[in-house]
Amino acid sequence: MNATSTSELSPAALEAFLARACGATTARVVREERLTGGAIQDNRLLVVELVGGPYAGRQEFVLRTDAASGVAASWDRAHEFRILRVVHAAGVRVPEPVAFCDDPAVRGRPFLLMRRVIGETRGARLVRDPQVRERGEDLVRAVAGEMAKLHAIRPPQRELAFLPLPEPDPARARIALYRRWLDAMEAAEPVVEHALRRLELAPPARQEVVLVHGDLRVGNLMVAQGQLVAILDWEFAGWSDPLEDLGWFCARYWRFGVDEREAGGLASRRVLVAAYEEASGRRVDARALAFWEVMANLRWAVIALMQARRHSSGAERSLELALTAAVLPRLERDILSGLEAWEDM
Amino acid sequence: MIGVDWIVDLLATAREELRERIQPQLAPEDRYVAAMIGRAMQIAGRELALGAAMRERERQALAGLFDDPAGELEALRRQLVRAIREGAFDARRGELEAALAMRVAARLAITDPDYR
Repeated sequence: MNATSTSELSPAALEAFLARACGATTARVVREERLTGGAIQDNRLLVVELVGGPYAGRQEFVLRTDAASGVAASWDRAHEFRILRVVHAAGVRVPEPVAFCDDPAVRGRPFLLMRRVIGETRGARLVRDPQVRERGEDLVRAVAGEMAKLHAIRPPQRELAFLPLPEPDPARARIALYRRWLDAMEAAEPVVEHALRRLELAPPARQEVVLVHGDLRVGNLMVAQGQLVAILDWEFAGWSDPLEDLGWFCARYWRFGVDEREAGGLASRRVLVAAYEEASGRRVDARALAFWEVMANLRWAVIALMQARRHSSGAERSLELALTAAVLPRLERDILSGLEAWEDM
Repeated sequence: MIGVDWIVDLLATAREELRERIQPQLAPEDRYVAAMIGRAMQIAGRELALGAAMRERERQALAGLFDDPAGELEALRRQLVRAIREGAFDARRGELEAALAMRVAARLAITDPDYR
């Protein structure tokens, strides 16, 4: 972990904000360090001494700031904070949201503050961790339980009024969105286009509209001793069909090479579906799930193209972003085989 | 001596040095960067060795869909994408998927030749 010095901006402004947000008389930042995070956000650990108020004592918070260049698909911190509040209130295992700040005098950019949770999030490491491998089925059941709580949240929700409702239905709204993204990049991607067309011709007859995470995969789970601690990274949340989260979780790319365990490299698809059906009271149609799995590969393909553009356009030069372009052929192969499996069902 | 074979071998040798001698000495977060550099070199090596042939293979596959044997790859891709969206290939699914599979195999040969 990279230890860096306290903010280049005034620590006094941050401390004043922390005191106010936490209802404390005073707040003192004892330590700040950069945490390894996603490609989009900057996450920092703040160890804070608070005097008075509900958070009195030593607290460990995570300060999450918008990155310099964003992805079209993702919500900023202000919106992520509201999503986090709603899902936390619904009892979904997430880091407790503490405060949001949009005063540029404090950190230069808006940020959200949440309680720190500790565990491993690196997907490639998790799927190979002996403890996780042994308890993979329990872990997937726990994820299914959290999905069920999340998917019980339905529109309208006053705090989530900024989330657009999918029109005319989640599947067709996604197809239209991905086409808009492709057109905005002037991308000519025949495999992606072919799959969008096939899916457009036969969307699942039955769709629902619930709150979905939008990036629910093993790399966004926080796990300690083989147990689920929290689900992270809510910046892609939205109203959609619940099977979108299940399809994304099962997509081959997010199995990190442990292909035989179709549910996130952790357990079989059967375990995920059975646990989800039990916890949610929904019946999962296998063909609809296969549809959403193709959609997951499509979504990732289009987002990977956008990530690669962030680099090649010069907006944010980065080897990691540049190499994202190299995942396309694998996703195309998965799209073609996923389409075949779906159409044969 | 200085030709494509030499460059391909040069990249492979440099990558081996990176992996065998440099990477183990690095801190974990730098090891990840070294792995990405190694991957970039590996892709570059395959591109030099196979890139032109693979693009020609994709071009032929797409050209076959339009009876346009001399069509240029980027123009064919754009034409195909438009036609697919308009539904012009709805009734030619098998033929289209065979051509797309050729494209994917040609591209995987550069990025992930072992991917099944």
